[in-house]
Amino acid sequence: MSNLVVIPNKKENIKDILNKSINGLIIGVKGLSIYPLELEIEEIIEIARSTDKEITVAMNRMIHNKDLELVREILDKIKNSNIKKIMIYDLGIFNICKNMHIDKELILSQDHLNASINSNNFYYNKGINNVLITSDIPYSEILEIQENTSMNVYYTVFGYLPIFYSRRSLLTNYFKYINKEMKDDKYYIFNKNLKYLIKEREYGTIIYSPLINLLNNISKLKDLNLVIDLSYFSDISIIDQFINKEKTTDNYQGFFDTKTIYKLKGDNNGN
Amino acid sequence: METNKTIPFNGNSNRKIELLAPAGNLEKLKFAYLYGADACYIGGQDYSLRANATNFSISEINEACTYAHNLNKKVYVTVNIVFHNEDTLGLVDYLKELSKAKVDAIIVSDPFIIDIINENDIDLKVHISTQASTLNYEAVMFWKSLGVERVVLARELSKKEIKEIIDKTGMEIETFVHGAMCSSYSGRCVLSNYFTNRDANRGGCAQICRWEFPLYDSNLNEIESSTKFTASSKDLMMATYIKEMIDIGIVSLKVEGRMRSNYYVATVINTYRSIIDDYYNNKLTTKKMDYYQKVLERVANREATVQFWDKLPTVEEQYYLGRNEASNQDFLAVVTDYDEKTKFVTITERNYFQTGDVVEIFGPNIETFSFIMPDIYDIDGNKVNVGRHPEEILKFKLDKKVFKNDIIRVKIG
Repeated sequence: MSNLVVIPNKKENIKDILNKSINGLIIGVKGLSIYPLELEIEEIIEIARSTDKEITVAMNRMIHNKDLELVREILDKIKNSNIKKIMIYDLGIFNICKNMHIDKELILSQDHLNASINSNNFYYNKGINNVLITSDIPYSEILEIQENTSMNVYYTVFGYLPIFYSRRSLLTNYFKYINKEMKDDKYYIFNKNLKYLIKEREYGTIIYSPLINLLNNISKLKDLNLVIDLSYFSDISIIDQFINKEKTTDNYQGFFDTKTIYKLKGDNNGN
Repeated sequence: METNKTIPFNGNSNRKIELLAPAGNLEKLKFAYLYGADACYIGGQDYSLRANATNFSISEINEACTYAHNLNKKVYVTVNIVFHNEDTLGLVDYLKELSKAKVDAIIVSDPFIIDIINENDIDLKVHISTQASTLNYEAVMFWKSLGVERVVLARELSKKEIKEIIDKTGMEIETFVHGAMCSSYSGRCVLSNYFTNRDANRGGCAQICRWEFPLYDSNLNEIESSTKFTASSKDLMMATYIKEMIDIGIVSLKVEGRMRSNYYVATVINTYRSIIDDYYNNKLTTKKMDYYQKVLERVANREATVQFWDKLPTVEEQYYLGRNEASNQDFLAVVTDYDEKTKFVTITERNYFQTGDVVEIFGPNIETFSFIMPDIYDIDGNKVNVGRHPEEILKFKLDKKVFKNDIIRVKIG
């Protein structure tokens, strides 16, 4: 039996989402997450106090030295709260958690850097019990990881996945170059008729995958924490479709059943 | 009036900074050492991020290590893919072979290799690859706690951030000094996977960040411009900041480019070698720096800037339309022999030149000097006065002694 975990899109939706048959929320904390919805840590602690559902704080931004003091402050506040888990990308936060004796469970969300049984065993043995598994391996490999490690696996089944993260202000730079005003807060590029969202924030630029929707495969996914990421998606009724396992039209499924090419034999490009 | 000031040495002379060169094959490795590299990083035929480079077999890695150690230089081997389940087959044996070859360290991004080394008692030092995107001193402390010898920091860090990391961790820190940049934090980009199914973190990066795309707003209206959107970044060139890099205690300066040519490697390594040595010997002057910069600007086919060292990159650090990637024609010939009696230089031609051209010659054992190309002869002694065929053997007379593998190029500056 899988759990359903939701990354909310708006603060005003949180109550409604919590009233649905889901198991928990992942909420970005202000200044340290990549999610468009970021709340003050006090607000997240209050949500965790008021529900019996599992609340995770996301601190999954790329962390520079200047961010570390804020990390410590937030961890200190989380320490004695009802927050159950902390989602991290940066191993510096893991180091701080150890030094501060934070006893909350961690979810490692390294996007594309953690993609094998061995890597997951490595982190599990170091004390990280949960992983938001990478989006660029097929489900068969995720199953192998699940079966051959003790990791509690989170898997994004709906949402736009970050597939490129730069410290550069790529949209600002582009509009400056073409001498035009940047009027919008969302831009897109296309490849093979698929739409890729580009978002610039104060910490850099992220390009997202096309909208992944694994609804039609939901019954195949066993004993996972299925993540519905509502970032940049407004209709929360999608959660009900996952709860009810409703079939839908064919959707983009990313690498669910596709492997990437490792080596290109005989390809001499760039030499 | 133009001034020429000496840039006084202000670093730590106890441990001279390492100049680390890329080497895509044995010939490039030997060129890199010859031209002043203290160490080279190479990829094996598996588990390395440049899947399309020639890369080294185990016997070539053995040969590289023997060659390097005889020169008192080092070899680091990249084992820096992000592993998938299927990739670990043969890994333990491979690591044992690397240990037997006495490689000086392996460069990894997937940390489970540290456990494999420890569990199998394999004698290998570990450097953490830039692909792991290590950005702060707490992350460096995490690697330190695992017994890692060195961390190659992410390329997105400023001088202030790097200095703080060094001061707070006491860890060996390596940073990039020259070459191509990822536009994304390394390791956090899988555009290649999504756009072409080529795995960016397993050696197949298709460099999507250099592609150009029409850009659309949230209503899917195309932004009107003759210039398309791209994430493409200019290259990195830190020549003018070598002094600061040495002064803050970086231990190794890495040049990017395992797939670059011999000429590129020789020129870039020779130039940084000169800057470093001049600085340590209190011989670095502003005039010399101007010349070194010109040499580095000429060798690449892309513009290069400082990137993150002193500020966040702006539009000036990005590439849009109008760049010219024409191949570099500066490289004219390689010296294969010098006859001290007849004073004839034998060379192998690379690009067109003729009698009367102003050229210069550089090499690891000579001060770079320029001259006017005298009469040119073919291998049979016929006066030809032109070199037009790559790989053609030619001769000319030169009073000043030069050495095998010295390089003749168009005069710079």
